[in-house]
Amino acid sequence: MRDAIRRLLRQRKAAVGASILLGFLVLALVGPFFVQDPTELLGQPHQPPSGAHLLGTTGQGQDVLAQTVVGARETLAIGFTVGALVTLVGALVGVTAGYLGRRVDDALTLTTNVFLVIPGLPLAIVLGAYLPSGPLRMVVVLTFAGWAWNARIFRSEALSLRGRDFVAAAVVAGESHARIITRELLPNMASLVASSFIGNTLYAVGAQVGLEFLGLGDVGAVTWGTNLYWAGNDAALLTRSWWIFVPTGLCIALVGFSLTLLSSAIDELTNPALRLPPRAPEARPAATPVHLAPEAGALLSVRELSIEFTTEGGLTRAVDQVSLDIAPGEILGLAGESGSGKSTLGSALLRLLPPAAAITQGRVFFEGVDVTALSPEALRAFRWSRVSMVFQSAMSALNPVLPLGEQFHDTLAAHDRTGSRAASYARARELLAMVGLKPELVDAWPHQLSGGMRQRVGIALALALEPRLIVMDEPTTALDVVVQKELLQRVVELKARLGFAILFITHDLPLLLALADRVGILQAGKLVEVDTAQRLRTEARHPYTRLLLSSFPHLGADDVPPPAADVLEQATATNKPGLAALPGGRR
Amino acid sequence: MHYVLRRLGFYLLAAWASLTMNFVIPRLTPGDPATAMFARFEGRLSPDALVALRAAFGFTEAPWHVQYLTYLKHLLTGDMGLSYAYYPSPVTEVIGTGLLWTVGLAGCAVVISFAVGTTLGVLAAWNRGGWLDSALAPVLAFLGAFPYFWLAMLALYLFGFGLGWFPLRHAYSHDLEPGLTLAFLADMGRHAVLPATSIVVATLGGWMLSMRNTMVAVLGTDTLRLAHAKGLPARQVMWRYAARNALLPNVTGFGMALGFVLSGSLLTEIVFSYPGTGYLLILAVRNQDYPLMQGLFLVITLAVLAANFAVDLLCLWLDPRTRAHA
Amino acid sequence: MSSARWLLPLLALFATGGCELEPRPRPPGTLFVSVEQRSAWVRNFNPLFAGAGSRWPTRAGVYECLELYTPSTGGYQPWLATGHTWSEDRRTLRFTLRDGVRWSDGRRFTAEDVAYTFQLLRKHAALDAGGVWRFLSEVRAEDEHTVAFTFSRVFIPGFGDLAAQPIVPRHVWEKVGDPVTFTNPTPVATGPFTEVNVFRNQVFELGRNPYYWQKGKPAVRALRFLAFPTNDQANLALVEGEVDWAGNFIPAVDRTFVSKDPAHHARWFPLFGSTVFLYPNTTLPPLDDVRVRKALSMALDRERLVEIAMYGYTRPADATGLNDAYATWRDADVADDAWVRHDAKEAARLLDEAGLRLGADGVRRRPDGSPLALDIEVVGGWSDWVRAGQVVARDLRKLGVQAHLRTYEFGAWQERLQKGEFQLSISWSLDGPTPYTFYKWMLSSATVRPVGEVAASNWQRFGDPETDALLERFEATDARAEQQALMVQVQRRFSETAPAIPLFPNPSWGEANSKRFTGFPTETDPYARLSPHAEPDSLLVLTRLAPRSP
Repeated sequence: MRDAIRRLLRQRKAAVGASILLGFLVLALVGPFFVQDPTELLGQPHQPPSGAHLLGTTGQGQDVLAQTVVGARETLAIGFTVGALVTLVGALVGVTAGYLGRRVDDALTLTTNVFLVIPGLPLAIVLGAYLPSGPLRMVVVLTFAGWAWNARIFRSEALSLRGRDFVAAAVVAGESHARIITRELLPNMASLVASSFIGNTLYAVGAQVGLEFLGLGDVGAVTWGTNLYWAGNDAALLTRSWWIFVPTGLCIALVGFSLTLLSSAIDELTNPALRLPPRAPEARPAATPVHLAPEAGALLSVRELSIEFTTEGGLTRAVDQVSLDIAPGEILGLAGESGSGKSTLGSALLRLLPPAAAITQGRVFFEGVDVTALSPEALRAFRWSRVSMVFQSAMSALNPVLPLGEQFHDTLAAHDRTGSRAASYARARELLAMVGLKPELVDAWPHQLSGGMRQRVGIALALALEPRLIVMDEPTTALDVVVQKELLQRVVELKARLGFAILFITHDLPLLLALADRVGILQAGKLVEVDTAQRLRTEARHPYTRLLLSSFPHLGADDVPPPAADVLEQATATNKPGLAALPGGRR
Repeated sequence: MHYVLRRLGFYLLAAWASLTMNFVIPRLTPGDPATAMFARFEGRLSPDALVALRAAFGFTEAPWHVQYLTYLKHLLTGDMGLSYAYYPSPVTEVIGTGLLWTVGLAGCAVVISFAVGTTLGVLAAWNRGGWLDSALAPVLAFLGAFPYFWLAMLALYLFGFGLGWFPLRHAYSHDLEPGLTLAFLADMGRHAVLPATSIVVATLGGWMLSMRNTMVAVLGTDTLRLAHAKGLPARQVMWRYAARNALLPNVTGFGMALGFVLSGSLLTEIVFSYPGTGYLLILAVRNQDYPLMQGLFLVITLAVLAANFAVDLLCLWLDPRTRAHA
Repeated sequence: MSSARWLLPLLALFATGGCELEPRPRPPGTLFVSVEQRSAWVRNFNPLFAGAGSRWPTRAGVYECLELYTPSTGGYQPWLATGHTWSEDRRTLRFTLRDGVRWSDGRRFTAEDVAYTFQLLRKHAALDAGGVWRFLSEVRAEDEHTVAFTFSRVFIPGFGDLAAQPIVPRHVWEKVGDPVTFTNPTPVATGPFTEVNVFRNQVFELGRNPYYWQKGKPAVRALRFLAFPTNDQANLALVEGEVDWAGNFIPAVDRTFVSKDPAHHARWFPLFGSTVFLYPNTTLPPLDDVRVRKALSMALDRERLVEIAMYGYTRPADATGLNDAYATWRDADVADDAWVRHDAKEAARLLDEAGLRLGADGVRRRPDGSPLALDIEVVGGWSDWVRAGQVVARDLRKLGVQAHLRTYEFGAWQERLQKGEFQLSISWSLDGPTPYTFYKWMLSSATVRPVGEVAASNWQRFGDPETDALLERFEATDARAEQQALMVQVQRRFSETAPAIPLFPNPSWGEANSKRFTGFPTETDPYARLSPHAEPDSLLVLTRLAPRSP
């Protein structure tokens, strides 16, 4: 937890937000002792700022500065109280619904949704009309009108946590529901609680000020909202006394702004994707030897390619001076553990690196053209028409909101390979048939297809522009064995028919040995060995290669071996950024 | 169709819940409007008239469930009773004077704000760290932290009262005949500029931020990698792939936020004397005008429910996955 | 940006709208009035039901009454009736109606209309705001121009209620199903302005009655009403010169309004409004002790209170509690009594005497030793009273009373006040043409309701048998000298018993801009109150005003 706070404060947003908020808290606590009595009618009404009254006087002759400072106290007190209550109620309802599920969930979710669509302010006004005035009423009304939003968020969070091991363990251990909710679930939502609390406080301050402005608060009290109420009542506009309402408005906005900053900082902490990615490292052309040249006759020549990532700890080299060649029509396999840089290398061939990564040295030649030197437009034209790609996650890579035909059409249109939409659809049907799918699927949406079907669509897409090379990045990992086998057979057939080359990337060495002409082994960014599949199987030289080979018991068998581990397990394990990055959780 | 029916059912339920709440809340507390009305006349009403007044207002000592059934029956026939504050005008007539203006103002403002904010969010996410992202976003967030009505007051003070660029009040000039004439529409537009702008300015930052954040999340997906890999033009990737996908959660959020925006716009109306329902609601509360209060609450809620339903239909159109469930 | 392109036509549209917005010539002779504060107008011209939200000036402008009472002149003025006579036994009152009066549809106005109007009040008690049928037994049209009211008992003050009743045409209201819920969208009336020319949510306009009985009047061609929901907006329109006549509360009026155009902008805030009181609940000790009530009264610095709460628009109340509408009734001796003057020492002495001694902590103790804590209740939204309450609470705290200001929503405040479930509450008082109504609701035993039961006034729940006898004698005489003598005695009783603590009389707010119209009442020409809220004075003003010749 302390670590999380420290990280939070390192962020500029959080630091600015926290210091503004802290400033106001101090002001609210200490300030009232240093200013005049805000209700005392000290001077002439509507006096502009002067030495005696730094922010002027109100329409009644009260000191605006004193009113603003003292107003902070009740406004913030109510704001934070309501913020906490709304969070609490929302969390309890949401977590209870999410955790208990079934009927309880149905009932609570329905109630929540009903409250969500009922406009809050009119509800608060109507409710407030019937309660005795005072700070308590404000708290009750605002809590009643505002809890639903939170309940919804907490419910979905609880739903996702419910299935986790530590909750299951607690259930097995026979702990009571109440205990599980309060001891297991809520503490694991620390950051959600924090950001909700801040968001709710923001809501509470705004709604409170609004209600008080309408005269629905306690107009005898000194709060920011009542200050504005009196400004309106005492003809601030008519007397052109801007100083009566401007300071209070600015204070409200500053508090609101600081809360917004804090909540956005917490969001960024929980969801690193929101953070501005670190700047990609500079290319170091000087480090690239000038003599580099493509291998004659090779389709693709990678020469001394290095790729680096900017991370918090400095530069990390993901691919380290790798050189390799692919001949036309060849299948080159690339194997290595997770994090060995094999996918990065594959993406680099299309210069599809993430924002934090860059090719720092070396060259990629494709048919003699230096891909690393292409202009953006030339690069765009080069992509897919020369080298295309099949992703491991083709199932999620398709655009969910466009029918398949459209996705073929825009690909063809982007490279001027089609005369009309009708022509594109015809071609798409042809391609779908080619990978063994029904041509009618051209009008289908991705969600209507199974995983295997989507992967076939991915391959069909990759073939659309008849590229010379297809990079296949773990294309079958997420599929079950039978589907995997069919798919690979189809790929081999198509290759035989169309003559493209394949760079096949996988962690599944036995698969490669069965499929590829040559296999390269990548370890920690370095290409430790490249050889024909046959030779590698029998006489691997590098100790790492041998280690890899020895970990697969079935080697030697001719057929494609079963996948190394539970496919689903792998898929989920690699796709879990959110909570892993979440600090302070008890698990 | 199943999906549409289910949503419709939900909204009916929500409507029922809100009108039940509407029935219960006023009856939980003391005070009765006949005496309140009596008081407004500061003694010009004799005590005997008061007794007759109670009868005229239909105050019965019937048990709750009977009152509730009568209440539901009346509502079903579109009868919301007579307003106390505007007695004996029917509540429907009183609400009728303002509803369209409220819906028009809040509707226009929220649509403009959503459209502009979302576009800015797309651009900001696309150019991470650009000036839109690093300069405009915080400025809008700061503006968004002001209460709507305060921005309205400031706008009124500066541009209406101080500079005289825009009218200070009302939805149209009193000497123009309302109608579909160019002069009237222009006049109406001018009157709407300040109130609508203050709502737009106050809400823009929120839409921008939420669109930016979903957009950033979408930008990291394989859908976008594939789009880039396919060599699609940048503009197409930004709008057809990234924005189109990021829009969906935001449209849902849009429906949810409608109630909030509407609430804020009620306050703005009051500042600008806009003849909407905002002031009616306050008036109803101050006068303990239960029927008017109930009617307004109900109508505003129904408007928000209807808007939410429209948003649902929009989602249905935008998202083929939802359609699948339909 | 491409978006800028489609924005252009919109901007152009607003720009053209801008040109049109330059001050358009106002329709000549149209008087802009701001009385009611509403966000939108609802069409209602029902003059009978006082509880109706009928548009101003339905009760005195569209419709008219028999005789007009104006506090600024202190007398009655014949209107639809040219005069009245009491029978010898004071049990019958006859009004003689004006000849030649026509309804706005051209039909003649007769005694039948008057009799029918009062029959409606009898049939529908909710219409009988003044409770005239508590003292009437019959109303008859004796001939075309004579209406006779037969009283069930001698009750001279009843004349005021009868004279002020707006009269409706029988031939129209006969066909109305329920006169209580009738919104009377197209009024047929005798008043100067009866024709609804325009009615929209933001504006409505009333045109002249083509058959108005005062020849050549009204000189004003039409009345126009813009909807302003708040005081601030209404004041802005007044200051800008958009509105000609208004009855708004304006803070610092001389600076914000009058000084903008001293030649034309005028305000007149005579103290004809009801006196505002701090009501003690006399059923609760120690407030049942007159010494305590007087002590609380003497603790108040009313000069400061009116300065702060009322922008100095009024004066501290005197010991009679009467406002300036009763100037001729006020007894100077009584008015000068000491118990409404700020005198902290005497206040402390009185409390000591009443056994409420100062404790060591500066708080006074009741005889049982508990601290003397009193809550002052006001309506949350009523800013002048809230301020008054703040000053009162501060002054009482100086006296050693733990006074707290409590704000309530109107309904809750009202309920507590009416049922007697309060300690101290700030509220108005009731008025009539004579101080009779005022003192009846202050002192009459007949108006005392038990705690828990709703009381229309006399919230302090104080009855004085001596006053009862005086009021009874007052009811039976129409001799002004005798009435005067009785009222002096009543005033003395009020000052002696101090049933409630008067704070200040309310001003009657009225502002006029004489740039386009002349003839507004002023302090030097007080033929009526300037406040348009004042009924039936508005009839006098509406018929007097004339457009300035260009």
